[in-house]
Amino acid sequence: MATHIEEGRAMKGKDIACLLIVAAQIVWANSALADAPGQKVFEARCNGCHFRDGFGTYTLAMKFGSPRADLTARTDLEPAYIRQVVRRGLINMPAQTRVEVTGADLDAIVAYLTRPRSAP
Amino acid sequence: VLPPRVSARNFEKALRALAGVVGDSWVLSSEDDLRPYRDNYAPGDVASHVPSAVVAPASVDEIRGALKVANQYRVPLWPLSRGKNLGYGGSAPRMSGTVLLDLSRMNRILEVNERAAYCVVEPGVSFFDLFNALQGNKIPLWISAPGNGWGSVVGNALERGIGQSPYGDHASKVCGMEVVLADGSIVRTGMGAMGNSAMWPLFRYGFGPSWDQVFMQSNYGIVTRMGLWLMPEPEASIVMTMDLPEEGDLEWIIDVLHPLRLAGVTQNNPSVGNVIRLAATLSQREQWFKEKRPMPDDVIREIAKALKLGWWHFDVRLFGHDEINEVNARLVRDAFAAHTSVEFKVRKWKRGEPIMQSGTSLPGTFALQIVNWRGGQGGHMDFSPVSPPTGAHAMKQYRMARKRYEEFGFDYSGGFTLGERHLNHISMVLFDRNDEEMTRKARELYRLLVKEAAAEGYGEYRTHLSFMDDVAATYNFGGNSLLKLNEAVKDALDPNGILAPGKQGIWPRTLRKDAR
Repeated sequence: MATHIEEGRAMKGKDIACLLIVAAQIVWANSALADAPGQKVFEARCNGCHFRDGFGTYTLAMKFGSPRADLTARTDLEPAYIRQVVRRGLINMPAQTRVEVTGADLDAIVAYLTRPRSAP
Repeated sequence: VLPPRVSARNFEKALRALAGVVGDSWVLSSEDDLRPYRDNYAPGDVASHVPSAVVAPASVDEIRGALKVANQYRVPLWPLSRGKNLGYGGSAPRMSGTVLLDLSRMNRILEVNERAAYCVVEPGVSFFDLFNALQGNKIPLWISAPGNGWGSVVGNALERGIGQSPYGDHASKVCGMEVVLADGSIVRTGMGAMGNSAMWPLFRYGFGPSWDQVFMQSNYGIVTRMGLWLMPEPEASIVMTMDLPEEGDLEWIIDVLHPLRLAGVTQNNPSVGNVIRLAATLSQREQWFKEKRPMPDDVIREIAKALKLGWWHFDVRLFGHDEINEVNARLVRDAFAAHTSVEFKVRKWKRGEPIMQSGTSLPGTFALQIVNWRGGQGGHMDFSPVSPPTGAHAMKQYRMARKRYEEFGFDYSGGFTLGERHLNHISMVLFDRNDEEMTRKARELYRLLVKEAAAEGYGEYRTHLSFMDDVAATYNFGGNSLLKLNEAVKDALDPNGILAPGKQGIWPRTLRKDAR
């Protein structure tokens, strides 16, 4: 479904309309899957850009390649680094205010993105 | 940074009093807490728009409490619904030292009426929130989202934002507001003034002067709730996409589209964009062209070929009963067939199929990708004058703007959104904030574009914080009589000048002399 991310910079011939359709679809798919509290907070606060085909995911794929694009699949994110990016922003990602992403929200997001996972 | 003419001691006292109103945790003043409120896409003048603190009330009562403190200590407040007006200043204030009044916590959807097709929302509700609430509850009403779905429904309508659905002129769908004035009084506009009328979100005018428009793009009050009309889900839609190959095609495209738009054959405002506008949402400039100079035509043609686009790309979206859509589609096809052999690509949708295929304006953030065009830390400003809806005006504006963009070293990225009786030319100055020279040129280019457009009678309909005085000065009939009226209203409603000083070029009496 998200083939253009795998293609990264090579997605020149992609049908734009299809791409945007796919983008909207995945916001929902993620919402339907929400169960863990941290996942819910991530989806409420971060999914505007960091759902699978969102602006954030797409930008990361363009800059660093697809393995680093989907934050929810990453296993290399350190808590301190997540906190810094959320509060200070990164490249074109705006920093998140403490009113919108509260301290408790940020704790939950960190817990979700650094949750223990079995090896693939 | 402090507000003008407020001592450090009094500012400290004001912050303590504000904390007494909203609670300690909702007054922010540390450097770390303020940084995220700076304009993330600032055209090189971050220091001109730095807040001194943030107050985040959760209710109308708390807003009134904050206003009392602000009046007592003469501390200015900059209300923001969600602060996502990216490209126009984000959550930053016009004047450094202003305290931000962040209304994000007031995020309730107060009512959705399916039968009468409206909602009543607070300022903290985002397009994502409203969309998810409607879809999650299977309510067959559609929102009209702008490019940035992260933003506030209320804030976007107040700034007269646009979407691509038939309800895309968001300000025109507002029906009734609750507004807290600088003195703390609460006004309900239109039928809301009756107190017991069910007509508040249904009939716009009420009795006497109509105030909804007066609270848009102004600094006269704090909007705490808004009635907004929503589009009933249609039976079907047809999205017709067209790509035309020549730069000169723009003129006849507008002339063919306009009668169709005026007659209601197409109900949304089609937007005719150039190759670079689309390429910038999907790729970075260096993929196509390594040089710093503006992209030459042959490279633009290569991009168009690779992305399967024309020089100009647009779509016509038809919503309603299936049979009527089919007739309208034929009218559109026939009108274009008289000028070109290029055919529309057609996508059809019927109720029950996934909404993302319907062609309505769904919330997303993908459009923000444009800031990556030049690489580095991206920034963008929109130049958006309005003109009469003719091909000749479109072509004249396009040539004027493209020439200047290229003189200053930028690619022209933009398009023309066609309304029933106006054409809105929106082009984007995309720059890399790490490049000081480029950022300075972006500012210079913008000022020149505003000035030259105004000389031809083309006025901006919104602008970044840094250029509000420039644009206000172009609306100068009768010795700036409109600005004088705006200032007279400002002084009457807000004698201490505490609400959003300088917004849209409207300065309170207390600061007017210094501001000029």
